[in-house]
Amino acid sequence: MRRFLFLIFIIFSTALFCQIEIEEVGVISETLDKAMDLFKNYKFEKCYQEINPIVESFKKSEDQGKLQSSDEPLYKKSLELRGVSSFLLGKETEAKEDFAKIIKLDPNHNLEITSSTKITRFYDTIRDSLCGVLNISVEPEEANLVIDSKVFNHKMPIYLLEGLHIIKVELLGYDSFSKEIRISSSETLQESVKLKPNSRKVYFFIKPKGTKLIIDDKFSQSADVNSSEKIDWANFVSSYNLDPKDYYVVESLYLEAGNHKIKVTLPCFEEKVFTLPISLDLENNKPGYIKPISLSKETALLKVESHPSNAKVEIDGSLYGMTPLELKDFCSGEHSVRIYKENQGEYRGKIEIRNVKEYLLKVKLRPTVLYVGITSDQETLNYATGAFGSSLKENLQNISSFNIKNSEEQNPLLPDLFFTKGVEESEQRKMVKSLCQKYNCEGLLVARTFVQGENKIASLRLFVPDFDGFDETNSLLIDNSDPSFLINNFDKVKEEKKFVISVVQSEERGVILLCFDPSNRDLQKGDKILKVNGVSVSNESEFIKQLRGEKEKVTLTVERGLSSKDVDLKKSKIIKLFLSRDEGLRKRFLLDRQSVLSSESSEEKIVSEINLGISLIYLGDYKQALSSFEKVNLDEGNLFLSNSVKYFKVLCFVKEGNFEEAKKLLLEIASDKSNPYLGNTNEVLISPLVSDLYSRINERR
Amino acid sequence: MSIFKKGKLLTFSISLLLFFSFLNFAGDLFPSKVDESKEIESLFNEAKADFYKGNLPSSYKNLMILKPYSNDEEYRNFMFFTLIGLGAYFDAVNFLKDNSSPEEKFLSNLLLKRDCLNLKPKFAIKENIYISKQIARKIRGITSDGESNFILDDKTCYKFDKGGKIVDSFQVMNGSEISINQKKEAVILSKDSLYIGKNKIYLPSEIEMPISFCPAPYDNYYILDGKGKVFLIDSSAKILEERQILIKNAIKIRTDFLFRIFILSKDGILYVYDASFNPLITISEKLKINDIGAITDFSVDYFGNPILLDKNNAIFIFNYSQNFLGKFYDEKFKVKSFFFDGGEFLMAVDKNGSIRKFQL
Repeated sequence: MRRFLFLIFIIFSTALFCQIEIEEVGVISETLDKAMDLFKNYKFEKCYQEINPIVESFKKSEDQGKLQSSDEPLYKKSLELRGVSSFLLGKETEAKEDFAKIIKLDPNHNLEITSSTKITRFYDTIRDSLCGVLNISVEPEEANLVIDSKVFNHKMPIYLLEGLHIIKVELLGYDSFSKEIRISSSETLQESVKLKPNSRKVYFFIKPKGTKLIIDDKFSQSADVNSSEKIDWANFVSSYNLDPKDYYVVESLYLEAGNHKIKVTLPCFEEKVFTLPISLDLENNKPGYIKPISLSKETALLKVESHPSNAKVEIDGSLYGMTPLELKDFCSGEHSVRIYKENQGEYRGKIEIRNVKEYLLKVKLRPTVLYVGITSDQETLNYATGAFGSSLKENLQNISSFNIKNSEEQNPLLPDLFFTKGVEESEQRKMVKSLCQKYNCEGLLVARTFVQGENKIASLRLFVPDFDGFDETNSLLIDNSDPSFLINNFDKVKEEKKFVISVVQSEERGVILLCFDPSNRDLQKGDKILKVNGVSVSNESEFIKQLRGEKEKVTLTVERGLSSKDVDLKKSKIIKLFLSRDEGLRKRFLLDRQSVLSSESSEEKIVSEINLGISLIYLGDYKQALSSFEKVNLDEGNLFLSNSVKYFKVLCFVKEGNFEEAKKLLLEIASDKSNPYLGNTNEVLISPLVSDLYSRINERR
Repeated sequence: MSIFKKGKLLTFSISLLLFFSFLNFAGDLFPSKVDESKEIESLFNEAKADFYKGNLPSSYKNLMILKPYSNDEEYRNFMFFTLIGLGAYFDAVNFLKDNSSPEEKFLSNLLLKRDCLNLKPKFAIKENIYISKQIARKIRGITSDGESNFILDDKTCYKFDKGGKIVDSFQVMNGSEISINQKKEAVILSKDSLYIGKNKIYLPSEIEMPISFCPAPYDNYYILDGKGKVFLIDSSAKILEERQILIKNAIKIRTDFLFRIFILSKDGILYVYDASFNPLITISEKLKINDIGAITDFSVDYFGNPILLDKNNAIFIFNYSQNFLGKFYDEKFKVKSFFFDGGEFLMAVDKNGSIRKFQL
């Protein structure tokens, strides 16, 4: 309550003070006008009496250090009126005092209320006793002259109070000049300043209209002013036998001496990039006219392919057709592309077509995720609101896994909802669902920065409607403008797993194949690798060294039993197996669901459904998972996955409490010895898992 | 038509990365674990217990769950031997291939050599020492702790240094077998007792006519008696378990690192059981085709590959998959007794007191 009353008091006091101030200024002006009238009517005594309290009041303010610069004109006018009145009343001493005061306030002030020679001379005598005169010539003439932070016209003599002064001469495109001068009373100082150019004004003449000029990777201006508008420009263009009406001028900023990267660009036209050397004209500093530039039209054949095909192609907001699509004579330049198929995903991105006859855009439709912004704790507030926040938003657009839509929600506290402790999970879930519906997105992404121990951390959370919890990706926040660590961590595409090849060096036998894709019959465990591409390898490091060569195809000469044979492999398909935990379950789920939606062949469908099933198991949706596994129709080539699929189904049945069905399937797996491994690597044996699960079901029951 | 051929493996393979977590999920099917660190510890104990019980599928499953969390030598050891027990030899070698100690490298190389590639043993002589002929003629068994050799005859156990000089001896009446325990103490089985070092422990009266013994899990011992009974006793000779086996005339009992139990019958058949005495395999036919005479003694290496001594003083080596790997026979060096360290070295004594150390 006390605080409230104090606040009220402050408000009232301020208002009252302001009112008094305004009233005071009004009174002074009125008094000055009245005194002026008396002066004009030769009533100098009355004028003096009228103006005297005002001058004294200003003086008092000045003595107390309260005189504002805005008060100066009134103060000077009051002093002038009183000084001149005093002079006319024969009070020369008082007049001298007032005039001296005026001169100290503004040495270049000339008396305005009288043109009397006698008074003017008296005033000038006083000024001469206090000031010196500076005559300064400045080149170029348009340069600014600044003395003690005040701008002066250098074409007139300048009165300066006796003492030290700093003069500065400045003009854009020139090195600035500054000097200290000491001036004595009655002295006349002569100064001459010629500024040295440090850059040059340059004009570009470009065809067609609207072309953008980019200098040193920064946009300068567009060519919008026709060159026929000025005679110099028109003459210059004509000197190249060109029509000035066709060319448009860009009056660039002053360019410093040295090389500059110039780019002229316009959609549908070729792009010209060149280096412009700028030399300074120290004598005359004449502007530079660059030889007219003409851009010719540039198009390419744009091919758009998508997976899945038959997706709609929208470029720069216009619908062009369905994939696969070929667009002849398509304008070069930067374009935003959206390729989408109803309920099957979309692709959003930017392309830049330049200097090519054909441009192929091959995309996979991706899930779209909504980015709702960044929040932070107090210690890292600057990161969230500063360069990091905006750079993160910009760079998220380039991630490969998802399309990112930016939220247009006005609530700045929205990102906090997803990080603040104590916020109910159901609340978050509700918000995720409603925002994803509103923006037609499949997930929601939100960022934050925070301090953990001595480290600053940046974090991204991914929420998916209908599933509790979130995926969290963290990275150290090292550079406040570089979100690449965080984005890479989030976007990281796991190493492609193709052939799993693993070898070991046996003392007696050399390089032995330990592990390989069991479906490949050319190679078997225990084969001795004699040569790689014809080069003998006797140990593991030699084998790896040979694989490092540039050739894509690798021929392995292997010995099995008493015979040897050559096996060809594509090197890009050989990798060493590395297994790690994958935490990004929701990301995985979104991508797997996308794969199912996008799958076109039966093989792809099988793989995608299995993956989706696995993801769903992780997210706890066993019914959906089971239905995914039910959809897997294995054909002859994929039969080796049948035990794996059955095992995954068993896990779902068990979780759902359907032990009978689980046991039945386990027995089926146990009786089928054709594929001993889980999945398509030979890393995890299936039978121990099956027998263990079977006995556990029995024990439990 | 394979999915590999069309390059469609990518997405599926990515999910295979989930397998470990997936197995984790399998572990949670019957949720019994609460705290993660405790869970890890208890899962490992569970895995070890399963291993010692011979329940290798369950041990494997729990070890797979632990794979992202554990990579110490103990864990690797259990996983390695579990994979061996499951017959996945190449996988076992592959598992230890990276990130392993010199000992592990040695083990995986040995496994690769003996069980994956079926390589022939070399029987390269590494050492040759001599002991008294009198002792050699009455020899019952030989063992070694790496530094010293122990030889048991009908009355005494002698400790020899590397040069063949007796450095210690103590009286053991009616000793039948000698072995070395984990503490590198000589363990001797006699008619009524077990000597652990020089410490004599009387066997319980239930064990009649003990004829063979070998190590059992948790520093315990299996004792085979003349009536076809196997007793599990602790180091104070307290009977922990008693089991009647159905093998006629069982004469020797041995265990490997997986604590699989190997029992040899008088008629030359080798019966193999898991640690809970569930029968695994019987090795007999393969032995017959190799002209083996009546087997008098045998040993197994770390992985259960048997080494047999027949009455003709020849040594035969097989692997667990019953592939014949090699034979040693020398007219001038007729093996009377041998000690096998389970790995690469075999020490054999002939009746003239010559002791040879072979590298296999």
